[in-house]
Amino acid sequence: MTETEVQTVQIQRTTKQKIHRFIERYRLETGIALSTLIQALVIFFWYTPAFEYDNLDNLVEEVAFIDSVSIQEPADAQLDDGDFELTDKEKVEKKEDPRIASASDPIVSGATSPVDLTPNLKPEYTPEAKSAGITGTLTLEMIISETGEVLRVRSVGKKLGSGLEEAAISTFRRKKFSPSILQGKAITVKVLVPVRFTLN
Amino acid sequence: MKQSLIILLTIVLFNCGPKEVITITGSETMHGMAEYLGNEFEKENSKIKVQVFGGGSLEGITKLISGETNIALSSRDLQEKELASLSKKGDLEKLTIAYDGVAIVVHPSNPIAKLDLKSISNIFQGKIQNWKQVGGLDKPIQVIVRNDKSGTLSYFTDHILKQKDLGIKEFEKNKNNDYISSAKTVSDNNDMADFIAKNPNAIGFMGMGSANLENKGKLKALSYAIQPSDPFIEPSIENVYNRKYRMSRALYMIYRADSHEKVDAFSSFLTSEVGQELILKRGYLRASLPEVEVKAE
Repeated sequence: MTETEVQTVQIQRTTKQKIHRFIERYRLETGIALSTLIQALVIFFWYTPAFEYDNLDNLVEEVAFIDSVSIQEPADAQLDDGDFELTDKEKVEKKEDPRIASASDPIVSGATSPVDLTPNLKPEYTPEAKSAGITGTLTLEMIISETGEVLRVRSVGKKLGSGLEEAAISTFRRKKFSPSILQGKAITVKVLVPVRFTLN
Repeated sequence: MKQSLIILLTIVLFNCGPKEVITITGSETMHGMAEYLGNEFEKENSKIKVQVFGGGSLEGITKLISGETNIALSSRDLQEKELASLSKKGDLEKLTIAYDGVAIVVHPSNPIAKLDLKSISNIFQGKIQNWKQVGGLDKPIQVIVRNDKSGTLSYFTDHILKQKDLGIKEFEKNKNNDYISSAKTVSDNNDMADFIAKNPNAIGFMGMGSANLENKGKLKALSYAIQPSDPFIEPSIENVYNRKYRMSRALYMIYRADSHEKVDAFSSFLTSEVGQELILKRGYLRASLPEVEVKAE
Protein backbone atom coordinates (compact mmCIF):
# COMPACT_ATOMS: atom_id res chain seq x y z
CA MET A 1 0.00 0.00 0.00
CA THR A 2 1.42 3.39 -1.04
CA GLU A 3 1.63 6.34 1.37
CA THR A 4 -1.22 8.18 -0.46
CA GLU A 5 -3.60 5.16 -0.13
CA VAL A 6 -2.84 4.89 3.59
CA GLN A 7 -3.68 8.60 3.98
CA THR A 8 -7.06 8.17 2.12
CA VAL A 9 -8.11 5.25 4.39
CA GLN A 10 -7.14 7.32 7.41
CA ILE A 11 -9.27 10.26 6.16
CA GLN A 12 -12.28 7.94 5.48
CA ARG A 13 -12.02 6.40 8.93
CA THR A 14 -11.76 9.81 10.50
CA THR A 15 -15.03 10.96 8.80
CA LYS A 16 -16.92 7.85 9.97
CA GLN A 17 -15.51 8.27 13.40
CA LYS A 18 -16.57 11.90 13.41
CA ILE A 19 -20.18 10.97 12.57
CA HIS A 20 -20.10 8.19 15.13
CA ARG A 21 -18.71 10.56 17.75
CA PHE A 22 -21.33 13.18 16.94
CA ILE A 23 -24.16 10.65 17.40
CA GLU A 24 -22.55 9.34 20.58
CA ARG A 25 -22.20 12.83 21.99
CA TYR A 26 -25.64 14.11 20.92
CA ARG A 27 -27.66 10.89 21.18
CA LEU A 28 -30.66 12.49 22.96
CA GLU A 29 -30.80 15.47 20.60
CA THR A 30 -30.48 13.23 17.53
CA GLY A 31 -33.29 11.02 18.81
CA ILE A 32 -35.61 13.98 19.45
CA ALA A 33 -34.78 15.48 16.05
CA LEU A 34 -35.61 12.20 14.28
CA SER A 35 -38.82 11.77 16.31
CA THR A 36 -39.90 15.37 15.54
CA LEU A 37 -39.18 14.85 11.85
CA ILE A 38 -41.32 11.68 11.76
CA GLN A 39 -44.18 13.42 13.61
CA ALA A 40 -43.97 16.46 11.34
CA LEU A 41 -44.27 14.15 8.33
CA VAL A 42 -47.23 12.30 9.87
CA ILE A 43 -49.02 15.56 10.75
CA PHE A 44 -48.23 17.02 7.32
CA PHE A 45 -49.80 14.08 5.49
CA TRP A 46 -52.68 13.92 8.00
CA TYR A 47 -53.66 17.54 7.53
CA THR A 48 -52.97 17.96 3.86
CA PRO A 49 -56.29 19.25 2.53
CA ALA A 50 -57.94 17.36 -0.30
CA PHE A 51 -57.38 19.03 -3.61
CA GLU A 52 -60.58 20.41 -5.02
CA TYR A 53 -61.36 19.42 -8.53
CA ASP A 54 -61.95 22.02 -11.09
CA ASN A 55 -65.72 22.63 -11.19
CA LEU A 56 -65.52 23.16 -14.93
CA ASP A 57 -64.12 19.63 -15.38
CA ASN A 58 -67.01 18.25 -13.33
CA LEU A 59 -69.50 20.19 -15.42
CA VAL A 60 -68.02 18.82 -18.65
CA GLU A 61 -68.26 15.27 -17.26
CA GLU A 62 -71.86 15.83 -16.12
CA VAL A 63 -72.90 17.23 -19.50
CA ALA A 64 -71.21 14.33 -21.27
CA PHE A 65 -73.04 11.88 -18.98
CA ILE A 66 -76.45 13.55 -19.36
CA ASP A 67 -76.00 13.69 -23.16
CA SER A 68 -75.56 9.93 -23.25
CA VAL A 69 -78.67 9.23 -21.15
CA SER A 70 -81.99 8.82 -22.88
CA ILE A 71 -85.09 9.16 -20.72
CA GLN A 72 -87.97 6.89 -21.62
CA GLU A 73 -91.46 7.31 -20.27
CA PRO A 74 -92.83 4.04 -18.90
CA ALA A 75 -95.69 2.65 -20.93
CA ASP A 76 -98.09 2.68 -17.98
CA ALA A 77 -96.97 6.09 -16.65
CA GLN A 78 -99.65 7.78 -14.60
CA LEU A 79 -99.90 11.32 -13.37
CA ASP A 80 -99.26 11.49 -9.63
CA ASP A 81 -100.13 14.11 -7.04
CA GLY A 82 -96.60 15.42 -6.87
CA ASP A 83 -95.55 13.30 -3.86
CA PHE A 84 -92.05 11.85 -3.77
CA GLU A 85 -91.62 8.12 -4.24
CA LEU A 86 -91.20 6.22 -1.00
CA THR A 87 -87.72 4.89 -0.33
CA ASP A 88 -87.30 1.14 0.31
CA LYS A 89 -86.80 1.83 4.02
CA GLU A 90 -90.01 3.85 4.20
CA LYS A 91 -91.86 1.07 2.38
CA VAL A 92 -90.63 -1.45 4.97
CA GLU A 93 -91.71 0.86 7.81
CA LYS A 94 -95.13 1.26 6.21
CA LYS A 95 -95.57 -2.49 6.29
CA GLU A 96 -94.57 -2.75 9.95
CA ASP A 97 -96.99 -3.79 12.64
CA PRO A 98 -98.94 -0.68 13.74
CA ARG A 99 -98.28 -1.59 17.39
CA ILE A 100 -94.60 -0.71 16.86
CA ALA A 101 -95.31 2.98 16.35
CA SER A 102 -97.54 3.13 19.44
CA ALA A 103 -95.11 1.29 21.76
CA SER A 104 -95.00 2.91 25.23
CA ASP A 105 -92.23 3.41 27.70
CA PRO A 106 -92.89 1.06 30.66
CA ILE A 107 -91.54 3.37 33.37
CA VAL A 108 -93.10 6.62 32.12
CA SER A 109 -96.47 5.01 31.47
CA GLY A 110 -96.37 3.41 34.92
CA ALA A 111 -96.51 -0.13 33.52
CA THR A 112 -94.55 -3.13 34.81
CA SER A 113 -91.34 -4.09 33.00
CA PRO A 114 -91.48 -7.07 30.61
CA VAL A 115 -89.84 -10.24 31.96
CA ASP A 116 -87.75 -12.54 29.75
CA LEU A 117 -89.32 -16.01 29.87
CA THR A 118 -86.52 -17.55 27.77
CA PRO A 119 -83.34 -16.42 29.59
CA ASN A 120 -81.40 -19.45 28.37
CA LEU A 121 -82.01 -18.54 24.76
CA LYS A 122 -78.82 -16.56 24.04
CA PRO A 123 -77.05 -15.62 20.81
CA GLU A 124 -74.00 -17.62 19.83
CA TYR A 125 -70.59 -16.34 18.88
CA THR A 126 -70.07 -16.54 15.14
CA PRO A 127 -66.93 -18.49 14.03
CA GLU A 128 -65.68 -15.32 12.25
CA ALA A 129 -66.01 -13.21 15.43
CA LYS A 130 -64.37 -15.92 17.50
CA SER A 131 -61.39 -16.31 15.17
CA ALA A 132 -61.03 -12.52 14.88
CA GLY A 133 -61.09 -12.22 18.69
CA ILE A 134 -63.95 -9.73 18.68
CA THR A 135 -65.38 -8.81 22.09
CA GLY A 136 -67.58 -5.96 23.31
CA THR A 137 -71.12 -4.83 23.98
CA LEU A 138 -73.86 -4.12 21.47
CA THR A 139 -77.28 -2.69 22.30
CA LEU A 140 -80.56 -4.01 20.98
CA GLU A 141 -83.82 -2.06 20.87
CA MET A 142 -86.80 -4.41 21.20
CA ILE A 143 -90.51 -3.83 20.79
CA ILE A 144 -92.43 -6.33 22.94
CA SER A 145 -96.13 -6.74 22.22
CA GLU A 146 -99.05 -7.09 24.63
CA THR A 147 -98.89 -10.85 23.97
CA GLY A 148 -95.20 -11.02 24.93
CA GLU A 149 -93.93 -11.65 21.40
CA VAL A 150 -91.04 -9.62 20.02
CA LEU A 151 -92.32 -7.43 17.19
CA ARG A 152 -89.05 -5.81 16.17
CA VAL A 153 -85.37 -5.98 17.12
CA ARG A 154 -82.67 -3.67 15.84
CA SER A 155 -79.12 -2.89 16.82
CA VAL A 156 -78.36 0.67 17.95
CA GLY A 157 -75.01 2.37 18.60
CA LYS A 158 -71.63 0.80 18.00
CA LYS A 159 -71.43 -2.26 15.74
CA LEU A 160 -69.17 -5.18 16.63
CA GLY A 161 -69.34 -6.77 13.18
CA SER A 162 -68.43 -10.32 12.05
CA GLY A 163 -72.10 -11.32 12.15
CA LEU A 164 -72.60 -10.68 15.90
CA GLU A 165 -75.41 -8.12 15.33
CA GLU A 166 -77.26 -10.52 13.04
CA ALA A 167 -76.79 -13.41 15.50
CA ALA A 168 -78.13 -11.30 18.40
CA ILE A 169 -81.09 -9.93 16.41
CA SER A 170 -82.24 -13.33 15.14
CA THR A 171 -82.00 -14.84 18.65
CA PHE A 172 -83.84 -12.02 20.43
CA ARG A 173 -86.52 -12.08 17.74
CA ARG A 174 -87.39 -15.63 18.93
CA LYS A 175 -87.61 -14.73 22.63
CA LYS A 176 -90.83 -14.73 24.67
CA PHE A 177 -91.65 -12.23 27.39
CA SER A 178 -94.36 -11.74 29.97
CA PRO A 179 -95.82 -8.43 28.75
CA SER A 180 -95.83 -5.05 30.50
CA ILE A 181 -99.02 -4.51 32.47
CA LEU A 182 -100.62 -1.09 32.90
CA GLN A 183 -103.64 -0.88 35.19
CA GLY A 184 -104.38 -4.57 34.68
CA LYS A 185 -104.02 -4.40 30.88
CA ALA A 186 -101.11 -5.73 28.80
CA ILE A 187 -99.46 -3.11 26.58
CA THR A 188 -96.78 -2.94 23.86
CA VAL A 189 -93.48 -1.45 25.07
CA LYS A 190 -90.03 -0.50 23.78
CA VAL A 191 -86.90 -1.53 25.74
CA LEU A 192 -83.12 -1.53 25.33
CA VAL A 193 -80.97 -4.60 26.09
CA PRO A 194 -77.16 -4.56 26.19
CA VAL A 195 -75.56 -7.80 24.99
CA ARG A 196 -71.93 -8.38 25.96
CA PHE A 197 -69.78 -10.81 24.00
CA THR A 198 -66.73 -12.17 25.83
CA LEU A 199 -64.02 -14.67 24.92
CA ASN A 200 -62.41 -16.95 27.50
CA MET B 1 -30.90 5.76 30.35
CA LYS B 2 -30.74 8.17 27.42
CA GLN B 3 -32.27 5.57 25.11
CA SER B 4 -35.26 4.99 27.40
CA LEU B 5 -35.72 8.75 27.67
CA ILE B 6 -35.84 9.04 23.89
CA ILE B 7 -38.41 6.21 23.63
CA LEU B 8 -40.52 7.83 26.37
CA LEU B 9 -40.37 11.24 24.70
CA THR B 10 -41.31 9.75 21.35
CA ILE B 11 -44.32 7.96 22.87
CA VAL B 12 -45.41 11.13 24.71
CA LEU B 13 -45.05 13.29 21.61
CA PHE B 14 -46.99 10.82 19.46
CA ASN B 15 -49.81 10.73 21.97
CA CYS B 16 -50.03 14.51 22.01
CA GLY B 17 -51.81 14.44 18.64
CA PRO B 18 -55.26 16.03 18.22
CA LYS B 19 -58.16 14.25 19.95
CA GLU B 20 -61.53 13.58 18.37
CA VAL B 21 -64.25 15.64 20.00
CA ILE B 22 -67.86 14.69 20.77
CA THR B 23 -70.06 17.71 21.46
CA ILE B 24 -73.15 17.22 23.60
CA THR B 25 -75.69 20.01 24.10
CA GLY B 26 -79.03 20.32 25.84
CA SER B 27 -80.90 19.44 29.00
CA GLU B 28 -79.75 21.19 32.17
CA THR B 29 -81.22 18.28 34.13
CA MET B 30 -78.83 15.93 32.36
CA HIS B 31 -75.84 18.31 32.32
CA GLY B 32 -74.07 17.04 35.45
CA MET B 33 -74.77 13.42 34.56
CA ALA B 34 -73.46 13.93 30.99
CA GLU B 35 -70.22 15.55 32.22
CA TYR B 36 -69.68 12.68 34.63
CA LEU B 37 -70.36 10.06 31.96
CA GLY B 38 -68.15 11.97 29.49
CA ASN B 39 -65.22 11.87 31.92
CA GLU B 40 -65.69 8.15 32.50
CA PHE B 41 -65.90 7.53 28.73
CA GLU B 42 -62.67 9.51 28.17
CA LYS B 43 -60.87 7.24 30.65
CA GLU B 44 -61.61 4.25 28.42
CA ASN B 45 -61.17 6.17 25.14
CA SER B 46 -58.10 8.37 25.55
CA LYS B 47 -58.27 9.69 21.98
CA ILE B 48 -61.77 11.12 22.37
CA LYS B 49 -62.72 14.28 24.22
CA VAL B 50 -66.32 14.83 25.34
CA GLN B 51 -67.51 18.44 25.58
CA VAL B 52 -70.84 19.05 27.33
CA PHE B 53 -72.87 22.25 26.97
CA GLY B 54 -76.17 23.03 28.72
CA GLY B 55 -78.75 25.58 27.69
CA GLY B 56 -81.82 23.35 27.95
CA SER B 57 -83.44 20.63 25.84
CA LEU B 58 -84.58 23.08 23.14
CA GLU B 59 -81.03 24.39 22.76
CA GLY B 60 -79.75 20.85 22.21
CA ILE B 61 -82.42 19.98 19.66
CA THR B 62 -81.94 23.29 17.80
CA LYS B 63 -78.17 22.75 17.60
CA LEU B 64 -78.64 19.16 16.40
CA ILE B 65 -80.92 20.41 13.63
CA SER B 66 -78.35 23.03 12.59
CA GLY B 67 -75.52 20.49 12.82
CA GLU B 68 -73.71 22.38 15.59
CA THR B 69 -73.66 19.46 18.02
CA ASN B 70 -73.15 15.70 17.71
CA ILE B 71 -75.68 14.76 20.38
CA ALA B 72 -78.73 16.52 21.82
CA LEU B 73 -79.80 15.72 25.37
CA SER B 74 -83.48 16.21 26.07
CA SER B 75 -85.66 15.74 29.14
CA ARG B 76 -88.76 15.80 26.96
CA ASP B 77 -89.83 13.98 23.81
CA LEU B 78 -89.37 15.56 20.37
CA GLN B 79 -92.19 17.72 19.09
CA GLU B 80 -93.63 16.96 15.64
CA LYS B 81 -91.98 19.98 14.00
CA GLU B 82 -88.60 19.11 15.50
CA LEU B 83 -88.93 15.50 14.39
CA ALA B 84 -89.79 16.63 10.85
CA SER B 85 -86.79 19.01 10.72
CA LEU B 86 -84.41 16.35 12.01
CA SER B 87 -85.80 13.62 9.75
CA LYS B 88 -85.09 15.79 6.70
CA LYS B 89 -81.38 15.57 7.53
CA GLY B 90 -81.33 11.75 7.59
CA ASP B 91 -82.13 8.86 9.89
CA LEU B 92 -82.48 9.75 13.52
CA GLU B 93 -81.62 7.83 16.67
CA LYS B 94 -83.50 8.63 19.88
CA LEU B 95 -82.52 6.50 22.86
CA THR B 96 -83.89 6.59 26.39
CA ILE B 97 -80.78 6.48 28.55
CA ALA B 98 -82.33 7.12 31.98
CA TYR B 99 -85.47 8.05 33.90
CA ASP B 100 -85.89 10.89 36.31
CA GLY B 101 -88.55 12.22 38.62
CA VAL B 102 -89.42 15.91 38.69
CA ALA B 103 -89.20 17.21 42.25
CA ILE B 104 -91.15 20.15 43.68
CA VAL B 105 -88.58 22.07 45.73
CA VAL B 106 -88.81 24.62 48.54
CA HIS B 107 -86.47 26.15 51.15
CA PRO B 108 -85.38 23.59 53.80
CA SER B 109 -86.94 25.82 56.52
CA ASN B 110 -90.39 25.69 54.88
CA PRO B 111 -92.69 23.53 57.09
CA ILE B 112 -94.66 22.29 54.05
CA ALA B 113 -93.76 18.63 53.35
CA LYS B 114 -96.27 17.55 50.68
CA LEU B 115 -98.50 18.91 47.92
CA ASP B 116 -100.99 17.37 45.51
CA LEU B 117 -101.20 18.06 41.76
CA LYS B 118 -104.08 20.56 41.86
CA SER B 119 -102.52 22.59 44.71
CA ILE B 120 -99.22 22.79 42.83
CA SER B 121 -101.01 23.87 39.63
CA ASN B 122 -102.91 26.57 41.56
CA ILE B 123 -99.71 27.84 43.21
CA PHE B 124 -97.87 28.16 39.90
CA GLN B 125 -100.90 29.88 38.29
CA GLY B 126 -101.17 32.32 41.20
CA LYS B 127 -104.59 31.09 42.35
CA ILE B 128 -102.92 30.24 45.67
CA GLN B 129 -100.53 33.02 46.70
CA ASN B 130 -99.97 32.41 50.42
CA TRP B 131 -98.42 29.34 52.09
CA LYS B 132 -101.20 29.54 54.72
CA GLN B 133 -103.72 28.35 52.06
CA VAL B 134 -101.93 24.98 51.82
CA GLY B 135 -101.25 24.57 55.56
CA GLY B 136 -98.02 26.56 55.80
CA LEU B 137 -96.93 29.85 57.35
CA ASP B 138 -98.67 33.14 56.62
CA LYS B 139 -96.12 34.14 54.00
CA PRO B 140 -96.47 35.14 50.32
CA ILE B 141 -95.41 32.46 47.84
CA GLN B 142 -92.63 33.30 45.36
CA VAL B 143 -92.89 31.14 42.25
CA ILE B 144 -89.73 30.36 40.30
CA VAL B 145 -89.66 28.62 36.90
CA ARG B 146 -87.10 27.62 34.26
CA ASN B 147 -86.84 29.46 30.93
CA ASP B 148 -88.68 28.24 27.83
CA LYS B 149 -85.70 26.20 26.56
CA SER B 150 -86.14 23.80 29.44
CA GLY B 151 -87.50 20.29 28.85
CA THR B 152 -88.44 20.14 32.54
CA LEU B 153 -90.56 23.29 32.10
CA SER B 154 -92.26 21.72 29.09
CA TYR B 155 -93.03 18.54 31.06
CA PHE B 156 -94.22 20.49 34.13
CA THR B 157 -96.41 22.81 32.07
CA ASP B 158 -98.31 19.95 30.42
CA HIS B 159 -98.49 17.40 33.21
CA ILE B 160 -98.89 19.62 36.29
CA LEU B 161 -99.82 23.21 35.37
CA LYS B 162 -102.34 22.10 32.71
CA GLN B 163 -103.18 18.99 34.75
CA LYS B 164 -102.65 16.35 32.04
CA ASP B 165 -101.99 13.75 34.74
CA LEU B 166 -105.60 14.16 35.96
CA GLY B 167 -106.86 12.84 32.61
CA ILE B 168 -107.67 14.15 29.14
CA LYS B 169 -110.87 15.89 30.26
CA GLU B 170 -109.05 17.95 32.91
CA PHE B 171 -106.23 18.65 30.44
CA GLU B 172 -108.72 20.01 27.88
CA LYS B 173 -110.38 22.12 30.57
CA ASN B 174 -107.06 23.54 31.82
CA LYS B 175 -105.10 23.82 28.57
CA ASN B 176 -105.02 27.62 28.81
CA ASN B 177 -103.52 27.66 32.31
CA ASP B 178 -100.49 29.95 32.52
CA TYR B 179 -97.82 30.82 35.06
CA ILE B 180 -98.37 33.75 37.46
CA SER B 181 -96.89 36.88 35.86
CA SER B 182 -94.67 37.57 38.90
CA ALA B 183 -92.93 34.18 38.50
CA LYS B 184 -89.16 34.55 38.40
CA THR B 185 -87.46 32.83 35.46
CA VAL B 186 -83.99 31.26 35.71
CA SER B 187 -81.84 29.54 33.11
CA ASP B 188 -80.64 26.49 35.02
CA ASN B 189 -81.09 24.33 38.11
CA ASN B 190 -78.17 25.85 39.99
CA ASP B 191 -79.67 29.34 39.62
CA MET B 192 -82.99 27.99 40.84
CA ALA B 193 -81.36 26.31 43.85
CA ASP B 194 -79.40 29.47 44.71
CA PHE B 195 -82.54 31.61 44.47
CA ILE B 196 -84.55 29.28 46.72
CA ALA B 197 -81.67 29.07 49.21
CA LYS B 198 -81.88 32.88 49.58
CA ASN B 199 -85.71 33.08 49.54
CA PRO B 200 -87.42 30.95 52.21
CA ASN B 201 -90.87 31.53 50.62
CA ALA B 202 -89.92 30.36 47.13
CA ILE B 203 -91.14 27.23 45.31
CA GLY B 204 -89.75 25.72 42.11
CA PHE B 205 -89.19 22.39 40.35
CA MET B 206 -86.25 20.49 38.92
CA GLY B 207 -85.05 17.00 38.06
CA MET B 208 -84.90 14.69 41.06
CA GLY B 209 -81.19 13.99 40.53
CA SER B 210 -80.41 17.74 40.56
CA ALA B 211 -82.53 18.26 43.69
CA ASN B 212 -81.37 15.26 45.70
CA LEU B 213 -77.69 15.09 44.76
CA GLU B 214 -76.34 18.17 42.96
CA ASN B 215 -78.12 20.68 45.23
CA LYS B 216 -78.41 18.57 48.35
CA GLY B 217 -78.77 20.69 51.49
CA LYS B 218 -79.88 23.83 49.64
CA LEU B 219 -83.40 22.53 48.95
CA LYS B 220 -86.20 20.37 50.30
CA ALA B 221 -88.01 18.09 47.83
CA LEU B 222 -91.72 17.69 48.64
CA SER B 223 -93.74 14.48 48.67
CA TYR B 224 -96.33 14.35 45.93
CA ALA B 225 -99.67 12.73 45.06
CA ILE B 226 -101.90 13.15 42.02
CA GLN B 227 -105.08 13.16 44.15
CA PRO B 228 -105.16 14.56 47.72
CA SER B 229 -106.63 11.21 48.84
CA ASP B 230 -103.67 9.23 47.36
CA PRO B 231 -100.63 8.39 49.48
CA PHE B 232 -98.00 11.16 49.24
CA ILE B 233 -94.72 9.79 47.92
CA GLU B 234 -91.27 11.32 48.20
CA PRO B 235 -89.16 11.63 45.03
CA SER B 236 -86.50 8.89 44.98
CA ILE B 237 -85.04 6.39 42.51
CA GLU B 238 -86.84 3.53 44.27
CA ASN B 239 -90.19 5.30 44.11
CA VAL B 240 -89.79 6.13 40.41
CA TYR B 241 -88.73 2.52 39.75
CA ASN B 242 -91.71 1.01 41.59
CA ARG B 243 -94.00 3.51 39.79
CA LYS B 244 -95.22 5.05 43.07
CA TYR B 245 -93.82 8.53 42.39
CA ARG B 246 -95.87 9.58 39.37
CA MET B 247 -94.12 12.78 38.32
CA SER B 248 -91.48 10.99 36.20
CA ARG B 249 -90.18 11.19 32.64
CA ALA B 250 -87.64 9.66 30.28
CA LEU B 251 -84.29 11.31 29.51
CA TYR B 252 -83.20 11.02 25.89
CA MET B 253 -80.04 11.23 23.83
CA ILE B 254 -80.78 12.13 20.20
CA TYR B 255 -78.32 11.97 17.33
CA ARG B 256 -78.12 11.27 13.63
CA ALA B 257 -77.89 7.58 12.84
CA ASP B 258 -75.21 8.31 10.22
CA SER B 259 -73.01 10.06 12.78
CA HIS B 260 -69.35 9.28 13.24
CA GLU B 261 -68.36 6.02 14.98
CA LYS B 262 -67.30 7.99 18.05
CA VAL B 263 -70.95 8.93 18.67
CA ASP B 264 -72.06 5.31 18.28
CA ALA B 265 -69.33 4.28 20.71
CA PHE B 266 -70.54 6.85 23.25
CA SER B 267 -74.19 5.79 22.90
CA SER B 268 -73.22 2.13 23.37
CA PHE B 269 -71.24 3.12 26.46
CA LEU B 270 -74.29 4.86 27.96
CA THR B 271 -76.67 1.95 27.31
CA SER B 272 -74.16 -0.71 28.47
CA GLU B 273 -74.20 -2.16 31.98
CA VAL B 274 -71.20 0.02 32.95
CA GLY B 275 -72.88 3.22 31.70
CA GLN B 276 -76.20 2.36 33.30
CA GLU B 277 -74.53 1.71 36.67
CA LEU B 278 -72.82 5.11 36.42
CA ILE B 279 -76.21 6.71 35.65
CA LEU B 280 -77.66 5.09 38.76
CA LYS B 281 -74.71 6.44 40.79
CA ARG B 282 -75.66 9.96 39.68
CA GLY B 283 -79.16 9.59 41.12
CA TYR B 284 -81.10 8.62 37.97
CA LEU B 285 -82.97 5.44 37.18
CA ARG B 286 -81.41 3.13 34.60
CA ALA B 287 -83.24 2.61 31.30
CA SER B 288 -81.70 -0.56 29.80
CA LEU B 289 -82.79 -4.03 30.88
CA PRO B 290 -80.05 -6.07 32.64
CA GLU B 291 -77.13 -7.01 30.41
CA VAL B 292 -77.11 -10.39 28.66
CA GLU B 293 -73.66 -11.96 28.62
CA VAL B 294 -72.56 -14.25 25.80
CA LYS B 295 -69.39 -16.27 26.38
CA ALA B 296 -67.59 -18.10 23.59
CA GLU B 297 -67.46 -21.84 24.28
